[in-house]
Amino acid sequence: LSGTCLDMCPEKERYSRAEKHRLALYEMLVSPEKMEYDVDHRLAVKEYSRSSADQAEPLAHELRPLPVLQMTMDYLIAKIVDRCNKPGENLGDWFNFLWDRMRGIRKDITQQSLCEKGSVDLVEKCARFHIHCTSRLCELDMQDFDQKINDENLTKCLQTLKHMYYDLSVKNIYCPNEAEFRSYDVLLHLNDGEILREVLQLRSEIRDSYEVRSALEFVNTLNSRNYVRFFKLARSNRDYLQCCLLQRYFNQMRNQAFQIMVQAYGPPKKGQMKLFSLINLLGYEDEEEAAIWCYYHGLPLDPQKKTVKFDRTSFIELPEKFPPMRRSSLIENKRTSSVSNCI
Amino acid sequence: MANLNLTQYLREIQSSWQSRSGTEVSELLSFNHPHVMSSKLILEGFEKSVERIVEAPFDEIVVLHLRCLSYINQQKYLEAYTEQSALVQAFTKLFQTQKEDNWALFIMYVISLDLRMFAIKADKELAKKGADKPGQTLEKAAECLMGLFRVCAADNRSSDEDTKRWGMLYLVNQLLKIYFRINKLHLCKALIRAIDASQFKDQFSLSQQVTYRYYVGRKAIFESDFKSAEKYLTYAFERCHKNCRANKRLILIYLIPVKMLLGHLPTPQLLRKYDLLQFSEVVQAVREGNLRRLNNALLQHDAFFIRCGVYLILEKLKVTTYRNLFKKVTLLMKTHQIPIEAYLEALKFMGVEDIDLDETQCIIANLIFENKIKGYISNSHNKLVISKQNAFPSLAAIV
Repeated sequence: LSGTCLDMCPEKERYSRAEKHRLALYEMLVSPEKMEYDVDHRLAVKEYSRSSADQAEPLAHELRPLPVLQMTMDYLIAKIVDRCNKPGENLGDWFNFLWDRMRGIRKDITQQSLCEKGSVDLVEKCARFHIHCTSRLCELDMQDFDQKINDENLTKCLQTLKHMYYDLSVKNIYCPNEAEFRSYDVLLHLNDGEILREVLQLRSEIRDSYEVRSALEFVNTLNSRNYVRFFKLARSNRDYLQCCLLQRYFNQMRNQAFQIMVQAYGPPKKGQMKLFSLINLLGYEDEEEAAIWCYYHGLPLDPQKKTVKFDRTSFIELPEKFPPMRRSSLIENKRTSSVSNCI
Repeated sequence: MANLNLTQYLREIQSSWQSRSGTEVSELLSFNHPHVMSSKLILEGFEKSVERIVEAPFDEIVVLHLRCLSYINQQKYLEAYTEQSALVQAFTKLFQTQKEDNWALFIMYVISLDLRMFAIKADKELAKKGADKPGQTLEKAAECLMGLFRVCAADNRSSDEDTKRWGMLYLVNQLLKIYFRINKLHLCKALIRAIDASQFKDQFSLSQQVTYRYYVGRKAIFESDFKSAEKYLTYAFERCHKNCRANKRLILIYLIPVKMLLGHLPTPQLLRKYDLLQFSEVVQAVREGNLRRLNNALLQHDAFFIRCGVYLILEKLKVTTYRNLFKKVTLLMKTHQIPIEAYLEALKFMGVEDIDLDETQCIIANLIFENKIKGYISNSHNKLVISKQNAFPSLAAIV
């Protein structure tokens, strides 16, 4: 099945959505305040629609061939992605639009069974987008951004890529970014005992690549509860997207660190540490974040001396709720170019 | 046997069935038996012959077996699995109707084993076609076997001689093998509990007990319950027949790391006898407290260790190595308040690169947390203050 639609969005859908008032802000001709609601035919992007059992086979004129998909992705990256850093931008809408439209691109790829370097590149870009979001949007409410759904989509992208890498390798075609994405897969499964065995199955140039090896270093730090090394490596790792994926382990490492320090630091009931040291040790943003953590774990603080006491009797091993996630400058400082460049 | 024709086969299986000869019927339904080599069994319209010669409801099972055989001959494993699965389910129903009777257990063993084998082959087939979920057929096989298990486990009104509960451990072992392969260890818990509660716990056959202890031991490793792991795996190793070298070696691959974590190092003779020299360098390194040597040893055979699934446990030996090293340092310092720098220097001397005071403190803190050092870290003085008595308890004594 080969697509023939030459626009980013099939004509029928453009008119249909305009009529049903289902356009995204990014697709509109003029702002809604001016009471005109119409689609900008140059800016509309095909949305994702779930396949239902009673839906007919997609028609060729509704599917976009690879060059059009590439043009669509280029448009999204060049014109929409960087808006996340524009002041006043609604991040929930921004995320939903990009996620949905990228999902639409992925669907067109699967429906046409496109398996070549060009389609691999498109799915890779989708995955990078989700990785960036997992960190950048971590402070948003569940309604605006759901980490779980973002993770599911990321996992789906990586799954698709794994199949494509395999199918192409059978034809002796190798993709230039495979090591990068295998390393992301490792970082998503640091707690999973099976990950080492999976890495063994990769071909040697991927297994020995810099990206995969640096991701594997983190497996050991988690396994040996070496919280110091974890944050040290996170700090020295220069890859922005790899660090975005590390953020999900911050709380786990911090919690373990607290459990260990409460037991090990003494004299018993008198062992203490400066909040400032905790920032470096556990990757906090500032003394305030460190202090909030101590509070959630029931550890008494001295506000004047800015120290925390490792009091075993008041320590809460697993608080019911962890303090809200904060955007991490440790991570964001690694992004040395625009977001669109990263993707 | 390989030239058996259909009528002969059917007459034989029917007569064995009628005389309740469990072993004979099981042979004629097993894919390990030479009758499967015969080319004269799958004839056109064989179902009718079966119906004619074999009594109901057993005839359904024979038909399914022959259908399965024809798919195996065509190497269509997914289809073969489907037939075998239907066979097991038909057998389950039949088995349940046999009150106070367990002669058919022999059949159950054979068809369960074949079910698992075909499921593995079917999954391989699916993987080649690019299936999404690895192990999906094995998962279905497990559900099928659970049905059989429930029939056996529920048979608690019959006498000890006739009860179907004797079949429980065999099925549990099949299920454990599946759950380990598809990495769903949490499903083992209920089965282990059932066996532990069984009155026949210690009366099942020795080979079944060895297999059982092997898997339970491995599960204990995953849960970091090394004391239990040692108990189970030692039993398995000692009771495993000395001629089953491959199995003994397999058990050792897991027993050795566990014992090392508990402070007992294997002798070079043992390693040589069972062709496990991959562990020698590791053993030496731990004995010396030599971290660089340990790292190299793990790297040298990492593929082997990872494939066996013991790499991460061996990584934990780093802790044992640190402990051995720090104990030496502490004894040298002859005081109860040792500056952390002393340990840092020792680590650097042993070739650990890129290490600083913070990380040294972290390693020591972990040792204290695991009860391997009795003492505390004084942050203000940057010292480790150890207990005056038994600051480095023997590893075997620590729970």
